[in-house]
Amino acid sequence: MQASSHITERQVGAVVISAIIGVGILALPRIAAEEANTGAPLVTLLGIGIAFIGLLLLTLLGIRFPRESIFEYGQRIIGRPLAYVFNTCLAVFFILLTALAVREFGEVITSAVLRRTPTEVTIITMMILVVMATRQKLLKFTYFHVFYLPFILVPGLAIVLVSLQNAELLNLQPIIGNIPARYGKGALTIAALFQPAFIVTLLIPAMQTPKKAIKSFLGGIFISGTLYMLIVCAAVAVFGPHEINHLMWPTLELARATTIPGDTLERLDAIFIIVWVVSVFTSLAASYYISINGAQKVFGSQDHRFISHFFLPFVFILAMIPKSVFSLYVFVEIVGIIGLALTIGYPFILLIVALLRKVRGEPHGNSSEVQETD
Amino acid sequence: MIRFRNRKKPQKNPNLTTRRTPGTPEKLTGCLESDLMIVRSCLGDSDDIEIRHLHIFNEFQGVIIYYTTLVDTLSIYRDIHKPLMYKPRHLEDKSIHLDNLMDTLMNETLYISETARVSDGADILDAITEGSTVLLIDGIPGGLVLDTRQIEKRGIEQPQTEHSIRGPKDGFIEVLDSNISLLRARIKVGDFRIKIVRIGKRTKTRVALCYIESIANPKLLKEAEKRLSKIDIDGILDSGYIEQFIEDHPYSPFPQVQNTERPDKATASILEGRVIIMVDGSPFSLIIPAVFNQFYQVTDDYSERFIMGSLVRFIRLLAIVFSLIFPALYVSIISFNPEMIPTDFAVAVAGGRAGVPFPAVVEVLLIEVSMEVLREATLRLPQQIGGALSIVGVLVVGEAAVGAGFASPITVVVIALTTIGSFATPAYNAAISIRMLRFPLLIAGGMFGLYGLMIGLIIIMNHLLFLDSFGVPYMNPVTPVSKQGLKDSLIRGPLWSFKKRPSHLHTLDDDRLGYEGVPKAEPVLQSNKQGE
Amino acid sequence: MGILAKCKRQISLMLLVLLVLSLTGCWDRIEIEDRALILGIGIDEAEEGASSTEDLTTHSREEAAPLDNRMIRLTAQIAVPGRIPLGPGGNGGSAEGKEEPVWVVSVVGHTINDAMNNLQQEIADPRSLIHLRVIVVNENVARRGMDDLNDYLRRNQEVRRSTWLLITDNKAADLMGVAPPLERVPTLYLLAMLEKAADMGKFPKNSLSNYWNSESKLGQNAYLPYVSIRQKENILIKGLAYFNSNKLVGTTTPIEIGAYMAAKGFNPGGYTAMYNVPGIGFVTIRATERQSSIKVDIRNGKPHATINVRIQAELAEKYSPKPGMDDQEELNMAERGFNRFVKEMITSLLEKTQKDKSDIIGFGEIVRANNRDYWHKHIRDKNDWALLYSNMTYTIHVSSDIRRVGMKVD
Repeated sequence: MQASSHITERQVGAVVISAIIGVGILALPRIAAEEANTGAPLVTLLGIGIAFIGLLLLTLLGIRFPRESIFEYGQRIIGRPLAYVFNTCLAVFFILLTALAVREFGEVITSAVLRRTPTEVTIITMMILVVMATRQKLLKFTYFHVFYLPFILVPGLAIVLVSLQNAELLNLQPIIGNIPARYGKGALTIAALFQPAFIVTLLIPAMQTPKKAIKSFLGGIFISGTLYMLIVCAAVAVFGPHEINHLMWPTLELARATTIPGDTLERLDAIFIIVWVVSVFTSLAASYYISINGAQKVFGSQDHRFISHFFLPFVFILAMIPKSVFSLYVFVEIVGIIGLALTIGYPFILLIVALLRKVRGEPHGNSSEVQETD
Repeated sequence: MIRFRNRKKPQKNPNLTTRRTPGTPEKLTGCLESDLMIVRSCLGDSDDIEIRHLHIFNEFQGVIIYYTTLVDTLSIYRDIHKPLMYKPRHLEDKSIHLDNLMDTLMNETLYISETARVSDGADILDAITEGSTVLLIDGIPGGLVLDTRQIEKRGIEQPQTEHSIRGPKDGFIEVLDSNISLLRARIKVGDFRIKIVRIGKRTKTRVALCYIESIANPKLLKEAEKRLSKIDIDGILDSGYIEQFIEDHPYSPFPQVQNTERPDKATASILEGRVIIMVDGSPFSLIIPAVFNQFYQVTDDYSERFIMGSLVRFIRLLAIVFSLIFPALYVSIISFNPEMIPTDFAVAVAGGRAGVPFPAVVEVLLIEVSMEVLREATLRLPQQIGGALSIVGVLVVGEAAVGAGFASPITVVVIALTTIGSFATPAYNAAISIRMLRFPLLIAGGMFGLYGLMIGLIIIMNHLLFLDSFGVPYMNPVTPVSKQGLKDSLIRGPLWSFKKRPSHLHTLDDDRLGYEGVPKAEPVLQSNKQGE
Repeated sequence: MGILAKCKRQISLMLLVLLVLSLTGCWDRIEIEDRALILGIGIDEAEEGASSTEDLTTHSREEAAPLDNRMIRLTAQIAVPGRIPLGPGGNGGSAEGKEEPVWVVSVVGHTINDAMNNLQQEIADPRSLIHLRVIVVNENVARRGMDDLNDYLRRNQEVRRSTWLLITDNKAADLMGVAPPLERVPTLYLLAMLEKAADMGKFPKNSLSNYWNSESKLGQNAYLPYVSIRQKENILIKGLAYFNSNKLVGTTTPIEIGAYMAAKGFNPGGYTAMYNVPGIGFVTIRATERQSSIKVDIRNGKPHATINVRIQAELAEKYSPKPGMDDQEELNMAERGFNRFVKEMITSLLEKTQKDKSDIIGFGEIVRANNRDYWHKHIRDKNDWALLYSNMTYTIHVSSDIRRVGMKVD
């Protein structure tokens, strides 16, 4: 009746943050330190930079086409058949991303808290939760992200703060990393962690003033990037660049290594994992939402809810493909890097072509409603 | 998240007030005998109906009809019989025609303040059943409705369900008019409006919408009226009936309409731009729209100074969280993640549980359920016995359960804290929904430990975020964030910082304060001293 | 009814989920009293011929034969629920002596997990390491190498990183049996002792986590508390046990812990030095606060360390009453004596560790952090630095400041 049906720029920022921070945060310090030892913060920064460029392209496109998402303006820029192929690729990629993330989540839960519970069960419960959330309209979906934002940021910051007591500055030196330090692959893998932020393309059309999206996107990347940096720094400073390589999930290990003074709770890892479930949920929901939307455009279907149910078994099957954590991380790396080509390359092509062909979107009228996805 | 669809309300007769019992004629003819026949046939031969013939001014044949059980007989005798039988002095030398008899009676003769001419047979019947007296005169079509209603009512007392330490002590009662008067006495502006509709095919209960016209959002009002008009039911016995027909999501465990017994709370809500629905026969008025925030706020928060008010409110919020998750958390930690508690304590807890035959989740469930039974029993018993029972229940049963090795002492502590926590929630309906939700959480926790608890909490939170009350997001002002609203949510900001009315209500006039900043007191005493 | 029909799918889905969950759920639920909470474990070398008496739970005799000479005896201390009274108060005192609050189980095995499995074979409740607080390892086992132990502990999600790992010269099993009268649970006594020692500055806070962190660094070696039993019931912190490549290579004296903490600048200062000041006699000085800065530079292609230590101290005792000690000059003499003493102690510690090629201070890490190219040129693995360290030169500067002298003047 009364509530404004537009999404504000702050809400978009919140969605960006909570979409980015997800399952990857646990393995992040290892990914960074494996390749570049003490240069891990630098690698992270590079990764953030790459992700930043990709998302910047996407946001610029969104501003140029303020009433459409990438699935729609893609058709106008490069023509229907080609865009159809890309849209399919995007949808498939995000389903794959969801599947791998949920599998990684399942692995963490299974090895850290619920040791005897089958991974399948944790994966299914989480996916049901995600499906239930993605059936909502975009506005309500945004609310989920906004509300959970503190539950995503605070535990991360708390872990960083608590672990400061064990940090050693020497572990972060030299900043560029001891030889041999390879930045490339690590940076790409880290940039791939930012991919769920692709959801901005769906949010921009629902904003009142899409021009402001650039602000919210900058803020979102800044905050999530800062948290990532802090966590990498903290983990490397506490464990040292070599110990991290022995740890499957260093961020979790940070939580395990610290106790709250005063002997109230002795181990924080369970608490941390549990709160981390929230950030996994929001980030999974974001990437799943993208794939549902893409599929909707590909199938030309209006039934958003049906698709969200329909994809569930696929995600589950895909999630069960990797045999162990080791092969899972190989998959994550490959899919992440291929995905970067898609999530950065495709917007790049679109933007170039749009500039060359001088295609523009219709101006954003105030009367336009939130995209009805229900 | 389970999505509850809006239920399709059956199509209703849009003309709410003119609904009639079947078989009544459209118009009265004016012929007394036939009119009376009609009335008799509709009202039947109840023993408390009084049909009294009289000669008005010794000239005209008239009859008054009323229920003796509903009217003030003294008033009928004094204000109707007497002036009708004795022609008033100033009319003595005037001759009165049948044509202007009605006007003369209304304007110059009867001592009844509320009179109306009706010609519709159904209206006359409605008036009689409501306690008015109807005067029919031979030769005049239609009749005169005289308000003589008098029904028993209790005095205004302190509200039973919402106590306050500091603040007004009066509460609503069952009579609509008294309740409205309590509000009117508080809001002394002309644009405080009352709209009354009648709902219920048989009870024809009066339902009043109260709002300030220059504040309340007209869309909200229209929506409320629309939802009320769609109600088609036999009878409305309490405002709870109305609530269940107008709420947005009937399948949600959370109340989306707030109720209150306190006129001050109702007034505050009206001033915020909300609409109050009052129902004749119920001391509970409904406040729409309602957001989750309102269920842990009490009027005391505003009467006390803001720092203390905020702290107390925070404690209440803590109690809600306690009562929701404490048992589930306990079970998850004990049965799934005992590494979280300190070693000495863990060893001791293991000792306490050593003889208990059930898993923690079953143990907690059993005790929880018995606690709920105890609570319900205490509620239904007469007050004196209730007090005794609760002490017996808590002390004796708890102690014995531990002694018998049926429960571990820590479980009893946990349950006690949980129960006490749930009593700290001021709104009974919200408290009960939270109390009931802790059972699914407990089972989830018993199945998947902390992970299950978290999944359960996410489901509940997602549901809360999804809910609307009359178009207002339920988690407002936390999500979507409203700066002004946050000042009066987790904390209770100073009154002088509430510059605007809650933004989610989209009020017409949203300024609450006449000035900016902190009010500063002049140092009166000091200047006096200097003067001495 | 239309409503019900619409929700039917959802309701049936919910029911299905609930059914599935309730039929299969609760995999991980183990009540706390049904867990065999292992509070501490001790690891010793197994006696001769243990392989023939071992219970074969994880392997056949022939399969594990190559490991037969490395067998261990694992002694676990398991909390017995019910024996430890709930809540404070000593009303459980009557049970003391007669009913032990813990249950000590001893098994042999080829590896930790092997031994653990043997242990599980003997006890009913599933073993649980979630409250494992102290691991005591016998010196001989530690000299043999700790790699297998570390792998098990790192891999096991139940083990906390804040667990204390101790090296002892006694039998580790004996430490598991020590039951001092102060604490209800023996392991917790050991734990409390270590934690209080760390708070008082008797020992640097050094849990499993720190041990692993140092051990995996190329330019640093790890150390652990070295403990011993005195008078059957008491536990003594005997020094540092320092490692090279996960093998115990040497131990220090308790006062050298103080020297180590001074060199690293660890606070609070908990050690007291007794030494002879010429002209004044013996005094004892208690260090209260230490600061240190370590620089390593490369001189002639070799690392050279400069250690600057500043110590704030207080006068605790003066042995001989004869010469007075009442002016600043005498205090300065005492300070100079203290400086000499600390310097000697640090030097002796460094010489000892250099001889054993164990860089517990972490000079190598400083080189790694500041001399990227030098490090790249010379260091490939941990042993490279250990060799460089054993030939490293260093200069030590100690300056001290006696701030307090107590309430007596003479």
